[in-house]
Amino acid sequence: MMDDHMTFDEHNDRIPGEDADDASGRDVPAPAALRALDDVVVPDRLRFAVAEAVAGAERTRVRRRSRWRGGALVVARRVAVPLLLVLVLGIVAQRAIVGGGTTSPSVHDVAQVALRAPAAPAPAARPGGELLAAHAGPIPFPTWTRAGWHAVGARTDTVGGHELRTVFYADGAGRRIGYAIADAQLPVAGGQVVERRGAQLRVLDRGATSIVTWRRDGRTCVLAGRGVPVGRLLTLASYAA
Amino acid sequence: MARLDPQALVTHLDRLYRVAWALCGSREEAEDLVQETAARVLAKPRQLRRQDELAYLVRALRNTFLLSRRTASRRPREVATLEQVEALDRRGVGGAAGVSGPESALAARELFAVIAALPEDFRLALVAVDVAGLSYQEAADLLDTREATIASRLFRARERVVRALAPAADRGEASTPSRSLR
Repeated sequence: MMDDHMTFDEHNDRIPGEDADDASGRDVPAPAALRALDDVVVPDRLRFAVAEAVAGAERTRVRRRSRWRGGALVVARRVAVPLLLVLVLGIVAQRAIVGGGTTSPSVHDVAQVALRAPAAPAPAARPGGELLAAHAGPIPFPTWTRAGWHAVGARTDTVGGHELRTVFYADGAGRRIGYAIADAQLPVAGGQVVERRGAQLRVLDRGATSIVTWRRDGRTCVLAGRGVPVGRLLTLASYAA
Repeated sequence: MARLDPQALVTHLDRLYRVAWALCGSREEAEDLVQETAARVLAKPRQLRRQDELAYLVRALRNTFLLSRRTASRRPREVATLEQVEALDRRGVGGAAGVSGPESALAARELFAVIAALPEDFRLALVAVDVAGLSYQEAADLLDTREATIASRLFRARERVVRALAPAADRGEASTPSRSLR
């Protein structure tokens, strides 16, 4: 539970290892104005020009490759193909051991879904007010109303063959977060591991976007939001993990 | 060692464009920079060394930017009229908070100009992390420095951006993006 001597906000905004006097970018969130830059997209003429250049480069590469094939076909059959086979088998075996799958989406892919718009209305709250009438496998979605958030929508997606169930929440200031649960343990690398209320949570910093992820019951849970302090996501995640 | 998929240029194009704009401070130069970077990257097969595609492309963009800055002949800057900004940015800069196109377009132009006016070390750190979305480690690799240095520069860069934007908002006046932040 929350420390008795701290207010809810103080608790939310603290991250282990933080020092208020430390001149570190980790301690100061990106200015809110920077988030607006995410909406700046390339003008059509530049997009077409680059797409055309990429297509041209790929056509050239294919032509070169087919020329090479003509000259080295015999060598390839006798030497390269067996080597390639061994290599592919190695990669497949490694992925099976490490990642548990071959084409799993990453946690960042899941976070992207959590930042999308809702496609369905918010699930109703169950009696008791702590949980919503929505779940991903054995994991129920919380209401988080006591923390100042309320469910505003939901969506279900399939990414890389895995089902994602997402519930979106908003707070009084109009900020929105997405809580997505994937039906598998997805690979995740980098970031900073933080322990909250006994739960191992991983914080991934992607500019103005805060992402917190954890694993539960063989699934991957991802909480993401733009302009929401990581400390707040960590607190919410610690109640859901 | 993985090979860079040329399609990565298309995938990350919006982000590269924002990085270019933040580096140059001018949309016209940003377009040129992105196109030049694409041409350089596509000139031959590229190998990724312990980097992901985005980190590689941001490094290529930054190198192209530094190279282009050294060349003496740069085309003169054109000053866009408000009508041109509206027309060009109508779909380019959406209103994240329901702000209409021209207003958010001008806000974005001002912000990019503020970032471009930062001292180089601060600017590169902020662009790498806040605009490109790289991790601190990736940014440190990109800028050949330590993660702690990135964190410190980022702190100061964010502080200066906030300071540069605050007075204009308080006064409700037109922005002065070219003011020095040094």
